[in-house]
Amino acid sequence: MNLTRKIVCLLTLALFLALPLAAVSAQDHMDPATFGLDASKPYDGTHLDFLICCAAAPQFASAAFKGAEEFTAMTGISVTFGDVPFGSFQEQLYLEASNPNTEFDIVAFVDAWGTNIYDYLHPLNDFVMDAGIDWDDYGPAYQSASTGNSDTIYGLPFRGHPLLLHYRADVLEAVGADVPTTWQELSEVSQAIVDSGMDIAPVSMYYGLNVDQNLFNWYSHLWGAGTDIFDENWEPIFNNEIGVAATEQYASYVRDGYSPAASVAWNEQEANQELIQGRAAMFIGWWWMASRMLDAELPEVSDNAAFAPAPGWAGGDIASYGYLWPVGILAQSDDLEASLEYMKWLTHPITERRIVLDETSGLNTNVAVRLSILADEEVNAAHGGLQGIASEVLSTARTIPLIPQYTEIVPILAETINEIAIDANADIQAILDIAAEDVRFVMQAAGYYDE
Amino acid sequence: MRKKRWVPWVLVGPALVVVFATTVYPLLAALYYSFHKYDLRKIPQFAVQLASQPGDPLISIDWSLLSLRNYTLAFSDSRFINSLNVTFWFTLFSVALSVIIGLFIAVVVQKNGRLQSLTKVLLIFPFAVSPALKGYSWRYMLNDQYGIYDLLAVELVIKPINVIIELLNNLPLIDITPINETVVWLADQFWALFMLAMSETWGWAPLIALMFVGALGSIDEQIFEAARIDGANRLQIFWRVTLPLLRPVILIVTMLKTIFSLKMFDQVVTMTGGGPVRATQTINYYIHQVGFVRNLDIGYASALSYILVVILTVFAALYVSKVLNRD
Repeated sequence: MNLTRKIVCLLTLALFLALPLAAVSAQDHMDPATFGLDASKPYDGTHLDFLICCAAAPQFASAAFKGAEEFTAMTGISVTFGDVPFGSFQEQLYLEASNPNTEFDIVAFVDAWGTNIYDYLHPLNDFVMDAGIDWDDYGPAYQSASTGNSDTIYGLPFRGHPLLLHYRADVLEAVGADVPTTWQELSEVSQAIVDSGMDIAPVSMYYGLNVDQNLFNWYSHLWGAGTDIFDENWEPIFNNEIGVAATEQYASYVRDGYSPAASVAWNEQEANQELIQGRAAMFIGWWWMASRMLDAELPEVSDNAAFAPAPGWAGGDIASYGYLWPVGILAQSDDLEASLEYMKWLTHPITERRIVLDETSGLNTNVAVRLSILADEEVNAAHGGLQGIASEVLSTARTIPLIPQYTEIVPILAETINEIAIDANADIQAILDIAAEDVRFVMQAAGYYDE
Repeated sequence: MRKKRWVPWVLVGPALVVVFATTVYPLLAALYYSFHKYDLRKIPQFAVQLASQPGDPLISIDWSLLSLRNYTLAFSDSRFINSLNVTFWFTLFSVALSVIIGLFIAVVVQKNGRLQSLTKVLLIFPFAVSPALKGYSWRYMLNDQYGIYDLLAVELVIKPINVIIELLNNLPLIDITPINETVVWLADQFWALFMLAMSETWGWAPLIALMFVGALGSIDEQIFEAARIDGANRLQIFWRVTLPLLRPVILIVTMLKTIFSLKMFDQVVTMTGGGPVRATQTINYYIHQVGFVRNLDIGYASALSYILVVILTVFAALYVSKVLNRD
């Protein structure tokens, strides 16, 4: 028997052995009982519309499209994804949610936007209990973001993001610096990079106005230093002594020349681009952006891509914003039961695990939300331990104030941060005081104070 | 033969239905909403109620639900007043630049020739670019790391000026600070607004130039010949002959461009995000934020829209009655 024949025979044998294994695997996925679905297909022929963002982004596309045919085969329920670009998603979400005749049954939404549509969402508490969903499998920040800090579950965690430090291991090694664990250490490492004379910006921040992204790292500074946006009586306190110190630290990266001057106008994407194109050594952003650095065209970037938890405050706390997209069901949906069936499958640990382990579809993503998946060894092995880092960040992550007025307050805060960043001589205390007055005006108009 | 009176109505009917559904109804609805407290987050309560049960009056009106609150609130809203201010300066810059540059281009390309013909064809392309894309393109072109406009501005303008400043500083008693070569255009409140206007000019000036080319072509050559015989030089001919004859076209394009500038929205979203701080928040951008992004206050957003409608109407009426009619 010549070599070619031997290879053909071996391949045939391998295929013969692999077929039953594949069938067992497929059977496991195709069994409705695995997902708690009703095998009798009571909703056969039902069609659901899912309002979701950003089909071009793997983290959404993968979750929405992978296996949707499998779900239809198991239940007879078909699902259409109403993809809307991120730039117009917020507006579309509000219009559809408030429309009594909307065609959409299921919606994914940003945590902060959810507060404005809670009245239009079907409470999921009974569903979570009946379906046996392990609520504790979601971290505290994600639980808060799904409930608006209330007892009502408005959505189930769907896509969630901790903040990570994305950095160039070679640059830090060249200056003999350890990975910074606090914002103050970040400044020290930045100074070391400047002193080394390397032709690279130490850190790439984003202080520009774009969907309020310039607040993400500011929250981490505030919370880490020990203050907050509001006190327990909803009085603004971000302008207190600690808030000013935290904001001074946050503005210092551009004021001290560690972050490029142009970062005062950058959004998150532009700042990340500096890292990807080799012009910056560090960037603090969402973990879904990790793949950009790992897949960077420049080998000095991709080969030296490294990640760590976003820094905390020296002598204080480590607390960053855990950003969540929950998925909920519109109260006016005519197909509530079928929608709940879909939610069972969509948010099931098996579905979530399969999504992060699938490397075949071109929709690779590291994004998972369940603590059990984040702790999964196989998942971590597939993504270089990213989920483990995320899990560490999420153990102390928090969410923003989830009140309807916050969408009115956010532009005040974002413009304030932008104003502080663009003027190196700006009086931070004075600007924060004015912002606090504006915020108080909004809260007062909404009836938060007995005055 | 007896004239069938219904025929014109049948022919115009479909168009009227479309216009009513897409223009008249939204306009009337927005006016109605503007007198209500209409929060998108809650089930709205409107003043006009149709009968829900037998025996009820067909239509009832609850006057307590109607108020001028949204209109009075607007004039104490510092953000709205800021948007009026921004829109005024944006309109001024973009209209002036578009008309002046358009006129300059028209004068350059008006003569017949291969290069001029090709240029005229190419001129339409910037106008064909979508406003949102225009905003993104300009944002990147102004980037200080890889932006072409930033490179041109620094190499062709700022650096030569700094060379002159350096030479001047060698003279006694002169000490001028050189211009910073790292200009972050979109981080400066003036330059961001100016560049927003420039992005609009980039699209509109070529179109206006084509309109001027058409107007220039319709001027009788004998008028220029007579002026030359009278001894007028090129500048005098342009100033005393061409410009007065173009006046009606200048007024029309100015009016048209003003109305479009007052409605500026797309590039604000994609190019500046309304910043830095609030420096580029135009009226339309602010209305969108109030209605659909931040406050979800459709009543207030409708009232602000009607204030914009009044401004536009007053402006257009002024032009038509005081300027165009005079000619």
